Amino acid sequence: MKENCKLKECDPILLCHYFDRELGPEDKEKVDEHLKDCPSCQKTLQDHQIISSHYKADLKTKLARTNFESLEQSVLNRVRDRRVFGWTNISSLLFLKRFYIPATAVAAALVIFFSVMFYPASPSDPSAIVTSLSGQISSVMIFETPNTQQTILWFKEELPLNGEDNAQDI
Amino acid sequence: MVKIMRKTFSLLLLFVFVGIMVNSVWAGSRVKIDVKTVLASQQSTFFDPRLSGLIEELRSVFRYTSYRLLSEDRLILGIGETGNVVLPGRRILRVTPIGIRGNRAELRLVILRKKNKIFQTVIRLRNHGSITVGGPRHQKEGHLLLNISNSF
Repeated sequence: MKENCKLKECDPILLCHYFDRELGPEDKEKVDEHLKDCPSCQKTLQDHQIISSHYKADLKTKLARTNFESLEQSVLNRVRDRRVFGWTNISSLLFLKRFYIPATAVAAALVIFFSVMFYPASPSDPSAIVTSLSGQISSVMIFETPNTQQTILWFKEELPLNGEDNAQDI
Repeated sequence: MVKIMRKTFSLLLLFVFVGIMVNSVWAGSRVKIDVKTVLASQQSTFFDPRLSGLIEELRSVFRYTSYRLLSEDRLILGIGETGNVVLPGRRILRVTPIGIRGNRAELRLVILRKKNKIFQTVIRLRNHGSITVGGPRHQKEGHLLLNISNSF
């Protein structure tokens, strides 16, 4: 019965679980029995213990040196920084020369472009300027409406020789 | 992080600027022209409700008692492209945008009657402005008024 409980060969993974106290009672008993007769596994287990104790000692030293209050404060500061991340970045960006000089230049270019292309002419300007005029006309009048300075171009056709003065509807 | 944001923002500004420029140049190369053909006469008293804004202006300079909208045409023309509007009395109005200078479009207007050029003018029309060309007689007591407006 006891023989059945023993491991037939070395199992380093099982040994690791044994060391970490992660095994169930049956597996633990098997490893215990195996360890009694296996110097190699005993040595491995001993090495595990040495390494573990070394790390534990180092951890204890580090923990003793650690100032938890300052650590907590730095964590809280980081959280606070992340919360105001968007605004701080934008505000810092706005005050950078590298940002506002090109931004101002682009804005100025846009303003000039739109003022030239789209800004309506002064209301006192005529809506239309007549630059040339010709045709079979006997007289021409150009004037503006008083309210909105809308240009009116009035011409009088020359009377046709064949008497077709009043053209009929098509 | 700030560098990335700065680069992204600069790129965004550049794209917006280039986009606006391209859109403006593309849109600016075409001129939208609306032509309202109005019959003005003293034979009756009628003010076409479709001309409410225009009639007010026309009445400040003309003494007609009737303003009737005969037709309304829209032309969308590129620079150098010619569009025709058929007018009553076998007349045709030919409109050709010659160019755009600042806030004005330079337009050539030609009125033909039976293939004869009876009137020709070149005007510089303010963007979203209008000109009224009048004079051609129509029917016994009426005159045609062509209200030409543009936008680009």
